[in-house]
Amino acid sequence: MPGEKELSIDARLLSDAIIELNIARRNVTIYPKDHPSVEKSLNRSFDLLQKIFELREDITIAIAKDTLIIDEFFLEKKNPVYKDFALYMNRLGVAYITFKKGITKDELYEFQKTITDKTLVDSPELIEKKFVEQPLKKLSIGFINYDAFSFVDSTNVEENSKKSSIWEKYIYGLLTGALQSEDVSDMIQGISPDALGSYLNRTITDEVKEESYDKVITSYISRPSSNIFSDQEMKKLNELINALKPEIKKQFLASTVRVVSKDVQAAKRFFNEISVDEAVKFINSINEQNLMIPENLKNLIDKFSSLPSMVDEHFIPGSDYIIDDIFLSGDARQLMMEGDEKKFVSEKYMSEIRKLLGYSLPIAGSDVIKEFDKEYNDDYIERYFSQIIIDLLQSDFVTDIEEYRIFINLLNERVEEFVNTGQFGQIYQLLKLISYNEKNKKYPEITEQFIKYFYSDDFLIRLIDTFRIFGRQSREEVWLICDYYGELIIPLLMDALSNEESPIMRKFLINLLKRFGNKLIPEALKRLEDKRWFVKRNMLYLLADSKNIEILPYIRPYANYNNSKVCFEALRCLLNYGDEYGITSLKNSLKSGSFEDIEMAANLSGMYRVNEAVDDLLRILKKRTLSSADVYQKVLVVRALGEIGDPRALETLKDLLVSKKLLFKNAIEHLNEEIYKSLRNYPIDSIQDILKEGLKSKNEIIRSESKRLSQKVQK
Amino acid sequence: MIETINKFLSSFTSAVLNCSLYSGEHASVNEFITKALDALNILFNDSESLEIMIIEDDIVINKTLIRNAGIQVVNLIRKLKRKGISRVDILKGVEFMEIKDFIVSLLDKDKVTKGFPHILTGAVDIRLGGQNLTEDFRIGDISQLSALQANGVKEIFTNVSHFKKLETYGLEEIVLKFAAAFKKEANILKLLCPIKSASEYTYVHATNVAVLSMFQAETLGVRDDIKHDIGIAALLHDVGKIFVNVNILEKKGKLDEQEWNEIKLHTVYGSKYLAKIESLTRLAPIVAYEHHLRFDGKGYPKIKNDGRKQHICSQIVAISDYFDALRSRRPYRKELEFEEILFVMKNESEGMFNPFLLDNFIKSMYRVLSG
Repeated sequence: MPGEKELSIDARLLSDAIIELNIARRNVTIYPKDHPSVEKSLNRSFDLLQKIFELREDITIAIAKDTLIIDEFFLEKKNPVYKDFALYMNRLGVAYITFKKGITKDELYEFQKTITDKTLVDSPELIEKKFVEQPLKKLSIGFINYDAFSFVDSTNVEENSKKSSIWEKYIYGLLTGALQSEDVSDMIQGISPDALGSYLNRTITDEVKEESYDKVITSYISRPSSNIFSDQEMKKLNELINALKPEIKKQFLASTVRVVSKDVQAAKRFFNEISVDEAVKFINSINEQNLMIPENLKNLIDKFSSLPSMVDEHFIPGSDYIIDDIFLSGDARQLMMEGDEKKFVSEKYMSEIRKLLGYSLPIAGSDVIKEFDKEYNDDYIERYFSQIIIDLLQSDFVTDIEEYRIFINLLNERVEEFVNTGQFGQIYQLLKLISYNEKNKKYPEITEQFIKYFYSDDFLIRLIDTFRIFGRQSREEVWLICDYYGELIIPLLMDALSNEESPIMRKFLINLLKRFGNKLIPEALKRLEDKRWFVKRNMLYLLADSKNIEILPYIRPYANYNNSKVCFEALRCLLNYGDEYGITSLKNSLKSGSFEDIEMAANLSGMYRVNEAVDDLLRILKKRTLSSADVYQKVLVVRALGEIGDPRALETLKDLLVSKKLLFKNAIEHLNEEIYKSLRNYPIDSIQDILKEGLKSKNEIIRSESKRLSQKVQK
Repeated sequence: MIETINKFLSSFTSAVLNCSLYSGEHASVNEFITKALDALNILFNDSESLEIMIIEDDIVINKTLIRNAGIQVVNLIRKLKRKGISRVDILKGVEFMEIKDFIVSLLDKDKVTKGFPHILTGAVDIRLGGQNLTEDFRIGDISQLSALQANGVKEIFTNVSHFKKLETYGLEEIVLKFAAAFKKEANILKLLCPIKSASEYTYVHATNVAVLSMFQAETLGVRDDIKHDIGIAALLHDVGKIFVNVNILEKKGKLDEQEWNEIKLHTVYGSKYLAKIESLTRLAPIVAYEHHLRFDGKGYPKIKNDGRKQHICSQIVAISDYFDALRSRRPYRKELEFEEILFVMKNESEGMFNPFLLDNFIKSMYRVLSG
């Protein structure tokens, strides 16, 4: 692909044109059309394009992800401007742009305007649509067609292909005929020396002409945007020559010598720039093959051999020198140039280290190793990484705003991960961090953005959603988060409670809400008006434990509500405060004919030991038993009375114990058992006679209960 | 549609993540698979399949490039690539258990991620017409071009400063050479590109620590990609020293408390510097930060979160670091003999190292050095 033909335009001109196009893109994003910066950059890019059009009719810039390709040449991959431009266009789904002779400044502006239009950049399909519907006359754009990326069985993909840059392959196919044909030799420059050597060893025959060798060499090492024969390229060439079979090595070497000696200036640069090692290797190879060296190159080599071995601009007087901002001693410099590690490490140790290199133990399968495997997991490593970023942000060592921004963004990217994996501890630390920074007005703009995100409904809803999944395993951390948000999170938790179907989760959410204490009262009172009975019930349940008497007027209306579950919670709430209205309502419920109401009221009477309800409870006990359901009701009443322990109940209980059991024999036997089980709260003296009778009973449970209580009395 | 695709992607990656962090049986995995399946069923109303393509580091679903996909997607891409998968087609009719089994197999290095009736895995390729490429001309070699263009480690470390990002190409090259040398028994130290640092000792030390750490990883049966990352992290473990005052770093006399505290900060400086480099393995900042933490939780830097332990890779590097520091000849003291060091490590450093790793290191060293 690259290298077969030379670029017909000056590389510098091209580089400048791309730089100006990139500047223009940025200016158009910020300023209006008539702004001097926009005009200036547009004019410059336009002028540069015009100069290019003096040399050719059009120019196509293809984009292979982060690399720009002109004709079939890759532009310098490391150049940040090229990279920025390429990545930007790739993000827009652009595969190539063709500028044609005759393009106007308006068209150039229109192009820049469209690719930077904020309403379009997030939807490349809209950009594509716009260019299709309103095409520019002298500028055409090709968009990535994902249909060209086909599905293949992974077993059919060569190892090399798996590692390859598929974008380059795509663009290559595109440039060479819409993915239809290709010339194998085009791809030569991207191939490793070993692979190319192996290919040439297999395929080169005696009939191959001298020019073909030159062509391979030129194609393989020449770079359009940099000096030919850099150290890396020389290294590559040396490696290629070494990989060739002896029969063709000489021809290739001769070809290299020819290519190098064609341009003495380039050859001079080459000898100045490549390392001594590579140059010596190259010259040794020439000598080994007894090649004739052209005179001009020979002179140059002689000159080269008399030069100092290395020139270093940064060398400073004394034994030290400086590179960038790093001071290095003369010893270190020597070390780097010669790899003379012996200076610092003894030969013995070096040999020990060398032995290590050839050593390979069989893979251990122990549990410890398996445990280690967990830590090698990418996701686990990410977790550690995030923790370190949090540590750094919590330290005093991030003092630079840009650094702060980078770290905050790194964490921002991970918040979703924290949420979706229940890493509540890390979320809490982040919340504490931003709260601390907010208080201390540390980088307020960045902090504010972060806070905005953490307080957004979207985030909070997702957070609570994951409480459902992970919350029970990290109760304390979940509570810390909820406590951090305070009243703000209460309505959302209440919403989640209302929508929750799982009783276990409801319990979890209720327990979480209850920890807010009085803070939840306003929201709970508000939600009492919700039409759904279960919402009312939940709110009453939560309010029952609050310690605020002012809520009672809001609760009382529900003591007589038409849903017994709501009613139960309201009464529970009122009885919790010993509220008179609650007691009256309870008594009313006991007097009602509704089995459900009586059951609920009996339970509450016992639960809150409501003495005032004893008469009503006894009245139920004295009623005639007409069904087994009546017996069941009496069991509940007996239990309630047992909890209250009022001796007024004992006479009635005795009556029940001695009454004849003609009907519902088993149920009544069960009732009697319950009476004995309920005696523990009555004054001991007043139950002696009942116990005496119980000890004589044929019923095992009654006997054993009587025995247990009698022993208690004796003690 | 893009919203539903994003919902699918978010739920699917969360299922993978939770399966990876906890297990396939964790309730969260089921929850997220159910959500992913719900999204899939909506998408299946319009098409018979969902096509997922990994094109380098991008994810394209149903021919739509997913933008700003986030770290979870990046990690999913990594997992798929590790299994050699760059294309996944999910067909209509896929069920909960099939997705779950697929996720489990994706995360299990020993399982083959194939043979699912409704989830087809393969690779993305560009079909070029005309003649077939011969093996040597596979496009894969183009990817090596960037490595070849790297100006070597010299350039890399010249670029280390507060204002420049580390160039990682060359580091990769060094570590690959180490890995190759492990297989070939080559004299790797001759091949090493020297690392510039604030002092000459640091350079040799960094390379030795990398060799020793990769050696430990090898003996522990660590998979190749992690071994490679451990090598990178070990090479860079002391990079923070570049930001420490060189006069303190190279001071020959006794350090006062302030100077010692400054030296200790190299862990923080190093991790801060490395954490900002996107292309670098996350292990590098982790190891730089933690390599002076001890197994018993002591050491430095002081971490606020009690109960957190050193990452296993930091534990490995800590052993190499200690061994090499004692082993190397320094201007102000003689080097210790190999046996003396192992004795010191075993007996004088209680709580400092993971006992299992230390035993493994000592045993492995003896086995190697006794031939």
